[in-house]
Amino acid sequence: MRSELLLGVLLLAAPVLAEPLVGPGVGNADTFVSEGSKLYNQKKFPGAVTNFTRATRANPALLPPYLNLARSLLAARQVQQACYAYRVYLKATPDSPDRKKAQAESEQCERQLKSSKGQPADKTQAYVELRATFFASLDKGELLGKDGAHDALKTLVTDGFLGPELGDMAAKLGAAATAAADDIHTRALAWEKLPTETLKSARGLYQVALEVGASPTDAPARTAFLDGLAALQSKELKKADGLFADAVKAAPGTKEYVFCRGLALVQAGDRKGALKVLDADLKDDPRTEVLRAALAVGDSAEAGAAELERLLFTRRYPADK
Amino acid sequence: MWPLEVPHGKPTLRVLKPTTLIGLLVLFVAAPAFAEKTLWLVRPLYPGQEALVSRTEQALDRLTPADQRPNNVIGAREFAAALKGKKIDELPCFNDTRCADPIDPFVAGFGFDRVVLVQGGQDEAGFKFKVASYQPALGKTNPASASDTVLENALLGAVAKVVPVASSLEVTTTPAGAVVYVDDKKVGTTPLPSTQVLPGEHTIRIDLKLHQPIEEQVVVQMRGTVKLDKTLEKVAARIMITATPAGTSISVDGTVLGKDRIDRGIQPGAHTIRLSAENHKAFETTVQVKADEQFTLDKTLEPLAGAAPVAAITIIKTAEPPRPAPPPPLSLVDEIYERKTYFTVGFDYDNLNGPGLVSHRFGTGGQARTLNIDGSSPSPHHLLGGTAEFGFFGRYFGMAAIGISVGSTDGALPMNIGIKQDASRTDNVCPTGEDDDASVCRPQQVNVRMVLGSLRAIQPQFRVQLWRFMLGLQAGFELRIGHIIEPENVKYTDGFMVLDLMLSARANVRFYVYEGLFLYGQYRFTALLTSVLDPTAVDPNTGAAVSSSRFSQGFNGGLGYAF
Repeated sequence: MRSELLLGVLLLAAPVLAEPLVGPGVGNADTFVSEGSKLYNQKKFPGAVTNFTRATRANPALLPPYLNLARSLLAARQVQQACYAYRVYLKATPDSPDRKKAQAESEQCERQLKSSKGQPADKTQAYVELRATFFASLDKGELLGKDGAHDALKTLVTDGFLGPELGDMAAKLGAAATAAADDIHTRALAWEKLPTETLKSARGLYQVALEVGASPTDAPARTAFLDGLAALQSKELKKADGLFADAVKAAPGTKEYVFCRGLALVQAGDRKGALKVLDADLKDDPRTEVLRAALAVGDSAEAGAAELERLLFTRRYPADK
Repeated sequence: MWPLEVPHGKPTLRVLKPTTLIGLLVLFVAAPAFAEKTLWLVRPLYPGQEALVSRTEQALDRLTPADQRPNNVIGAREFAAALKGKKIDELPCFNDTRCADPIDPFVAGFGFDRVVLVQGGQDEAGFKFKVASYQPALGKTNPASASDTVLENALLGAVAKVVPVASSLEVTTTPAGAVVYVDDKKVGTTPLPSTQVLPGEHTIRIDLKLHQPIEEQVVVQMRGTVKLDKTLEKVAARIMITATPAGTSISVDGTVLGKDRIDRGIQPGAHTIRLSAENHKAFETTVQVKADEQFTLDKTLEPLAGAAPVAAITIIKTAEPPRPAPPPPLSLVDEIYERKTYFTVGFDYDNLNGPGLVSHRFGTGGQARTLNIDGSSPSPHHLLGGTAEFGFFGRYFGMAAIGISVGSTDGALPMNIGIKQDASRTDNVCPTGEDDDASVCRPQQVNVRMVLGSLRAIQPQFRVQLWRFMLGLQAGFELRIGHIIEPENVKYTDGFMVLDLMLSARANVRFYVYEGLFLYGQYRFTALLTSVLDPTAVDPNTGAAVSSSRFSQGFNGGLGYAF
């Protein structure tokens, strides 16, 4: 029981625990800038690099951190990355008042790069290719998996890609992932028979959406529901019951989650338990009434006849106009 | 699935011979209707009418043919019996295919092609049934309703609209050619092939000229077939009589043969037909019925004057036009009895015996005085005058609605004056100033003339008619009003006022001279009950209260007219 509870908590928490790539999930950009500046002034350049980098991830549209990052990288003797950061900044701020100074620093960096030895290779071309891969995958709807849009974006981020367009790319990926997951949820709610893998993919999609700063509605409840359906299809009925119970708890207004919990219990052979669940939240649903009638028939023929008669007169006798 | 014991199936086509193929096609089309597995569930339409549920279930049971009964589960009890031992392994919507409403497949899983939900109730207008025919396999429900004064008719009226329950009727006769009527509607002639009729109770009439007709009540069951094979009896002649209003008694040659309508064979010859109904003039006629003839009479009786109208019933069509028959004249006695209202006017002679009235003096001076007639001399005292009366009768009993008599004495009468003594008087002086005779206040007696009138109303009466004589009795209350004055030696200027309540009885005899005109004579006896003005009159001689039992009698006579 304890292990099941832990599993449920972990599953529910999974989308939240995934490390954010871009967006507010990364943290507060201003805080990172402030902390980075503090470390820079203390000549703790690696720490300053980390904070300014996070600031560009948390809010890629905020431009000053790019210049601060370039200066920190240069001070930390990471000349190749520093020159790249200067180029990104200068490209993004054609009219900035400190452009002249930044331009001078950039040229100084480029000269220093030529004379430096042991610097890593320039990744600009690799970034171009990865961006192309990202957009191609996004257009094809290939969001997850190897060479998927998520994978491309993740590689770009981990490889040190910088630029305001990162925010736009993250937003597009977040919207696409949310839409894909919501579509699976909608189809599942409409009783479309979906493959187990499709049902399970919704969890990954919601995770991606959260990683890139999107805020999908009821993601924990939907994830639990779709995982519950997947478990139901795999005849993991006890697990399915637990997942549906989590879904009901997270989104009590969605009555179909309640029915699915009853369904899992019926399939597990616990009809009375199912009726108890359905009676609590879906008392007047025809499915609940049918289950009640079936149980009554099982109890005694007289009780079954009475319950069926009630069912027929309430459900199949036209109401007076 | 959990099928019930009675499965149903459809025949399959395996033989290709044309005749067989046609036969099988007929069976194939008919099979679903006849093998349909139906559940009938009944509920009361109004609260507190649970008893109607079992009546309705019994009616459904009666109306279901025995061979189809196993396919029909009627009522909750039979339904429970059918469910006995049933196990529901699989629930629709609770398997791999989810859905929103599993009721249709769930109910269909019990093997019912149709579920008929019946709600029945009874109110002032009769029976009302609301029915819903539900086909679980199609998920379709058709509602209908009907009302009737007969439970079965109301039930079937609703059911027949939504459930295929049409039944058939087949009639053959020997000889053939008879006309078949179902509930007075012609449906064909014999041999009548299978004809669709609604289930329920029907009156089947088979009619062939110069044959004894056959009329039979049959209960046609739902989806049932009624076959009638009758031999019609030939008759020498036939008589068909239809009479209105409803309840008219029909007698032929003094024997009552039925009410409203008779249709039977009869021996040729003369026959006397008499039709009679309450509040209607009887009709009697003698007819000559020839051999091989159908005599038809269609007659509506005339209502008697003053009788409440009676709704006419439908007159059946006759094979031959009705022969005109003169209405029989009423007897003299009946004719007089039919005269229900009368008015009389005549002279009046009254004989006042003894102290037959109590009165009160006009004026306000002095103490109150009362008087009574001196019964000793001269006796009896006569009153002469006139009288008039209006009243009405049933056949024997009636009511004198209002009557009035006015009479006057034919001479001066001595009357005693009663004095109410003044308790304070001690000097023997009359306080009102009358002549004091030292011991009594004068006058004790005066000579008076009087005019008396009596008014009577709503007096019950009884009569019996013997030829032209009518003997009658009537009794009731009367109010007597009078004025008494002294013609000479006037001491009491305003005279006295009489206002008495009396009981009267009258015996009379009337002789009808011509139509409603009659002469009459009447004896009258009245008894004084009390004086309205001074019921405590004191006899001046004895000091005792004047007795209220004062009688008078008399007679009157005159002319009257009854209409």
